[in-house]
Amino acid sequence: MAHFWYAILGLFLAAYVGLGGLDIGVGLVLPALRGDGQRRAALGATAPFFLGNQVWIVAAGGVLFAAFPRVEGELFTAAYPLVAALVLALVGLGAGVQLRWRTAAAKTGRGFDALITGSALVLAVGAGALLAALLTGLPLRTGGGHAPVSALIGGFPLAAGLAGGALALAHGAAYLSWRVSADPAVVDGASIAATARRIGAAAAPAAAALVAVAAWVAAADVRVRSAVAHPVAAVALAGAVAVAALLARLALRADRPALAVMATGVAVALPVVLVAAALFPHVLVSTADPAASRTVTDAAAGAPTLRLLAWLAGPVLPVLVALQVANWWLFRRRPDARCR
Amino acid sequence: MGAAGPARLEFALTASVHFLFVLLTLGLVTLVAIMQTRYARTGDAELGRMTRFWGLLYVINYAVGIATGLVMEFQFGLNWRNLGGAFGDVFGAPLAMETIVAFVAESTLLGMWIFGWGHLGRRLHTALIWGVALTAYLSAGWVLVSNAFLQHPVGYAVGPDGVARLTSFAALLGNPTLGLALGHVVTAGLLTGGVFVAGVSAWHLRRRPDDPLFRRSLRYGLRTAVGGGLFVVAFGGPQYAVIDALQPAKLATGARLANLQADLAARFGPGDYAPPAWIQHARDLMMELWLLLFALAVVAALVLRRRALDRPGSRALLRALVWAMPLPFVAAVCGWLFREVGRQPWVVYGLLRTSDAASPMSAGALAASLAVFGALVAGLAVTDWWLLARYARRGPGDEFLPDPGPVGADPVAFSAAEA
Repeated sequence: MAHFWYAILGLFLAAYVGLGGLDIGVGLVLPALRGDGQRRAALGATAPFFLGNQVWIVAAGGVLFAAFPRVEGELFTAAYPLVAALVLALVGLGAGVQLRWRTAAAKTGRGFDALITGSALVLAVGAGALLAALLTGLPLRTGGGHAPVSALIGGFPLAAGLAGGALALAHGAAYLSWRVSADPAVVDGASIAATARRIGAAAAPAAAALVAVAAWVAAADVRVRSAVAHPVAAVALAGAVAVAALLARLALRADRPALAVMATGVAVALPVVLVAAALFPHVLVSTADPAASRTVTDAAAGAPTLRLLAWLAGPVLPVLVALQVANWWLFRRRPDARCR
Repeated sequence: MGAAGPARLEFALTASVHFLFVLLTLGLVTLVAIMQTRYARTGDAELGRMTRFWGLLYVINYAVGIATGLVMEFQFGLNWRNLGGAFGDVFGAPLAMETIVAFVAESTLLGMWIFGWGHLGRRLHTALIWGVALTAYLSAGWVLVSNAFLQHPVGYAVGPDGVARLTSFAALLGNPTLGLALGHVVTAGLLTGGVFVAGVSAWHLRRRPDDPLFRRSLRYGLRTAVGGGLFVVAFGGPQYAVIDALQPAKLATGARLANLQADLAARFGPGDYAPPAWIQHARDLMMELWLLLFALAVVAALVLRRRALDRPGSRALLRALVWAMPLPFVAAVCGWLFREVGRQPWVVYGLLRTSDAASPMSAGALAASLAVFGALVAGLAVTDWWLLARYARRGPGDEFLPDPGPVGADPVAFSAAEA
């Protein structure tokens, strides 16, 4: 049962980076767009899905707290500054997008655009760095005691963070070129789509290169070598991320934006699988005290809690997926702008 | 002690601000759902415009409120590691249920509702807002299941490793500190939503006494406030008996409190078991504000029913309704302070002290966290109220309302006709 909930946690996180990553990526593309109108149109491209995209991180937080109550506390306190920055950015992105929609003044709009892009940058880079920190291991101790910030700084978290930023940028650009080019009603649509396509085609191979650099740095790090239990799987999955990113570039160059979004979606979601697979059966590896490392089984809540969650939440999961599918299907054409 | 002080203040601040949003959300969504149902039945364009106008205010409040909820959710892991470590198995489960079963569905449905105007059939679109309302209530329910466990832990067993495991879910649901509190919170939401709708309507009616949309909204608001006000007391009063039986120190003063302090020290070891005296004032203030609001709502509902609203007496009542808008929020925060501070020094009553529950961080680190997140949630609250005030003042105007078509017809999608 612990492994079932670990898989669900992974699924929710993958759903967040895949779907929430669209909003993050569009936020990163914003500075490249010209004028209030273009940026407004770009944000409008995620509008009907924004609430639905963002819920997955909340759901993942819920599963983490209930099914793995000891992981959340250990990880968050060990990586406190990074997690706090991610939470702030999550709030900044959500509030920024919501407020942007309700602002008519161009000047205030620019301020919110900066908030959105800044938050998106922190989220994309921070998520990459957090995954790298998980692969490196954190200085956890059985008796508690907080970790030094230095555990989060280094070549690998930096490279992984940059790779995360490039992947999110490619993902958002691919999405934008697909969503905007499908709709003749968007003002300046052709121009936005062209800009997005150009950015995506540059960001995707850059992401592939950064993933390779991150893998190279990680392989040289003693802590990573001892924390990773399945190096072959880790390297294979990192390769798959790079290949997916390169495929996205080919698809964008061939003017197949829908295909490109799928490829970037795979590329952003795979790192979650990579970290879980590389560390398995561990969830958290301690660099300070081997006894403080935690496996999936001993990090999980008791069997009664997991059973209860399965009984109550299990039947709802297909409903949630169906709701999301319905949402995408209903608004496959852009909804009337007057609805907001 | 160390980190517990700033961690507590941070949680109190986040929870209080988050609850201000929640309260209005619970009340407004119910009113909007009722308005839209009547609109869908009758095709009355005025009801449609009311639904759009109050729905927009609801959506603003919801969207900004989510951000404060995020800060709440992740704070458990950041600041309260030892609480999650020892009791997460038990009270984490209902919190997870809140996010998965209620919140995810609520937000997805709301997204479809916001953009569904003119895109979806009338019945389906109305069903969506009821789905949003239902999941909002479900959310409140699950959160209170968790909170009730902290007030009065049941349905668990502590293992040899010091970790509490769930033994009975039924016991969590049957917690005596749950049912009445849930009824109290939900009806307080209705009272708040009613006072809000009545207050905004009153503001407009002081300028345009004959505005039919706001006259109608005023009636909706006042009726909801009176109904919610009646039930909020019906659910609130009986809680005293429960508190007296389970957390006697919360209500005790004077000699009785001194006796209880001695009893509790004998049971749990030396320590201060008396909650701060000011919580009694918070509770008194909550009840006084209720009395004031309820009396105002009843009088306004009776007096303003048919009368012309430009007479001096009516105008004074309208002005009072405008000024009354913040009061339900003050009352609600007082109520929470009484409930939460009243159980101190415990975070899990009788089992885990607040001072032992915080993360093993330095006080300085948590003070920095308090400053950053405190400023953030305060900023969000101010932004929300500023936006609400701006849109409320603007009044309904250019909202797009799809052609409802002939009454009784149920077009599958308006968009087909429009395109």
